[in-house]
Amino acid sequence: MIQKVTLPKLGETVEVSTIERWLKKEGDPVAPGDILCEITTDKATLEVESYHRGTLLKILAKEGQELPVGAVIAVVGDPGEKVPKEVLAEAGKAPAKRAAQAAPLAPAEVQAAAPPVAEGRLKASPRARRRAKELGVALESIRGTGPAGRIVEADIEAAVSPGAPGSKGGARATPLARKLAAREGVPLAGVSGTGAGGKVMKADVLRAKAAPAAASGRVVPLSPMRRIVAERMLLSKQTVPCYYLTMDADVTDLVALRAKLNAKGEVKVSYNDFVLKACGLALRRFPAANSRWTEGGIERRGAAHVGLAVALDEGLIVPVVRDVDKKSVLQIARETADLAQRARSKRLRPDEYQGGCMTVSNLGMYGIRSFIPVVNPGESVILGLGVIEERPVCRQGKICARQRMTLVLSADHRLVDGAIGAQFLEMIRDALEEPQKLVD
Amino acid sequence: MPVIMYREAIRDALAEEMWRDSRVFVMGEDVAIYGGAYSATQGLVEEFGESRVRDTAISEAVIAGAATGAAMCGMRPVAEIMYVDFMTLAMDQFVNQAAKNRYMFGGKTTVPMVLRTEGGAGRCIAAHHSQSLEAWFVHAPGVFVVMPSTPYDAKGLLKTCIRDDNPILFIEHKMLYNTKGEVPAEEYLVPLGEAAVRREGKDVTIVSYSRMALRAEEAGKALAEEGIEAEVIDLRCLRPLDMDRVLESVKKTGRLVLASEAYKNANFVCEIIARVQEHAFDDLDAPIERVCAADCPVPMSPVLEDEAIPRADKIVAAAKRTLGRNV
Repeated sequence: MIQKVTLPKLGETVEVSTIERWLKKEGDPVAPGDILCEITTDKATLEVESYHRGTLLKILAKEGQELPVGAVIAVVGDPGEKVPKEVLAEAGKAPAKRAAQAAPLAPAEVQAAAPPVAEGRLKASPRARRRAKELGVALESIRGTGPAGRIVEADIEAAVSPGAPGSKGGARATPLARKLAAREGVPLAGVSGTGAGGKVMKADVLRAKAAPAAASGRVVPLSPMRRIVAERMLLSKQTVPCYYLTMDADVTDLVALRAKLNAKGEVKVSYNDFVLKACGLALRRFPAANSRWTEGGIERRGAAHVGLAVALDEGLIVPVVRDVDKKSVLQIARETADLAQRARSKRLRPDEYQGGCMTVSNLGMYGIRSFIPVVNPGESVILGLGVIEERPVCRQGKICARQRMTLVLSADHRLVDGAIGAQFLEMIRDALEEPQKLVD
Repeated sequence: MPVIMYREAIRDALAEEMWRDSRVFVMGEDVAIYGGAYSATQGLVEEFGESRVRDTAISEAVIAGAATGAAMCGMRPVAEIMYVDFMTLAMDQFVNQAAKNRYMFGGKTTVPMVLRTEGGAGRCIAAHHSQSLEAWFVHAPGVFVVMPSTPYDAKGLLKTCIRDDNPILFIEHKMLYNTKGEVPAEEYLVPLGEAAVRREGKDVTIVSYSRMALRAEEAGKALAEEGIEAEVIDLRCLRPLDMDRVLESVKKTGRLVLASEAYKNANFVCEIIARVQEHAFDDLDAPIERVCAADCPVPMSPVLEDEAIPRADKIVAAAKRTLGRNV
């Protein structure tokens, strides 16, 4: 039976996605749970799983092609079944009424649907099932050689060895290598394996990762994240007229308060968490700063969602803490720790890094005194935090040593005029200088 | 190392323990003057006299009952029941009295007795003299069941059994008495509840005991010639049972074949199968195979007897089935 595979919607604001890589090719058998292809949205790469069982009859979207959500990207059916012309004609087009159509696909990360129902009883030994799970191999695609045609462990091993039709994504790799490659963003297809039968081992992935640095002048293909970072930063510099404000904050009390809170050991609170809270309060006070430039006019945003830039090996991502003005510093600390950790393991959902009103970026841990951050398009301001250090300060005619931090605010002048921006930054500074109020 | 026969190993174990401990004595039908139906007590009466090597009436109930009473009175009897088939007549004394007394007297008595008997087919002596009834006794809490396959194990295990405070059924095999094997001249013991790995392998585990352990080894050799590496385990004791060794092997190979000379229905190996699925279900790569005796009284005809009892080639075939090979 002909089943259309459509581009899934991966987040509230996602309207288009790009086909990154097809893992199945035309003619391949597919089963529920098989990964068909990888798609890229705003900063995330997600896997598209099949809901259907059958043969991948036709791929209708090329790698690199950007398509509207809901577009038909492939057709699954019985082996040799003919794909009707009207289905082919739908290729790449967004459906007129998405709601009427049952979504036949879900990205692996957000899938909460019931497990696929097996047609007939699939014979596999318990040991084979366990191994298949470990290696991420779909049992449906494997021919059993055990007693009574049962799939046994050796069949699973064979399926992931070189040249096997059922091998995942074409590349043969140990589970460890696969995991490492995913984490380091090393495309497995480009890694030559030294293991049994050319299997990619952990060492091969590490070597491949180190190689680009060693070989100068080599062109490294753009990772999806790198491309998105590049596009958005260029867009910002070309379209957002920014001005920059610098201000020092005396954070002596903040340092003491944080030490006191962390000594209790409940949740580890970072300086960022205080800053996020201060930003939330400032956003609420200054609606101009909490707005977005659109072609139709200036969009005032009600809630105060603040993003926190998290550096990754291959780029950066900005998970967003929602409604920071309404949350306690401890609660913010808990959320940022969780978000940052999942950001590093690329496990964020799209709605967790979208919808921010402003961003906080901290390079203090590298000893940076101050820097000018680039506004994330769609937001109005970005706050750059420098290092907290003891500096000589004049107070009532005397020089004394105080803990100081330099704040730089980059602001979109279309939305926030200088005086507003200055008061906005001042409010943040004042909050940081009287931190007890932030936690009371 | 001296090479001796299985029956000599039994005799030596009895003699050594009788020298070692004056409470140890031997009793049974024709064990003294005749030297035992299978010559396992040959020469003991000359060595220790008629008070410690006693011929009894032809009454298995008396033999088992007297042994139980003597054990509770502080002796360490080693009584012989000529055929395991005759254990039916000693059943009440053994599984209702000997097995339960320590428990029912709250530990105030012990029953340190060994019932030596022999079982198995191979001599065409028909259904009353050829059975393997170990499953009946393994079922009863309070007794141990020991079934050695080699002269070395027979001697080392019998000595351990005589020193143990539990009632123990020590089942020899009539076709093993004349088999030979290396046995150290110096004293040694084989602990209860420790299986022996006769052959190491990675493809399939074959678990057996008593005479079938030898056939399992034969099967292991035949499989090796076809490139299949079988791991062959001799349980030696059915209770206490070395389940750890079996599970460890199954986790390695993913396949299990069990060989037993007893009837297939409710065979003792079914207990092993149950425990393997309890503790190693996810390690199994194939259904477990059991190679057992036909579910009929053991035939007298040589042709039928041979067909009714597992042979090495049947164990080989079962091992191949677990590997999905054509048999």
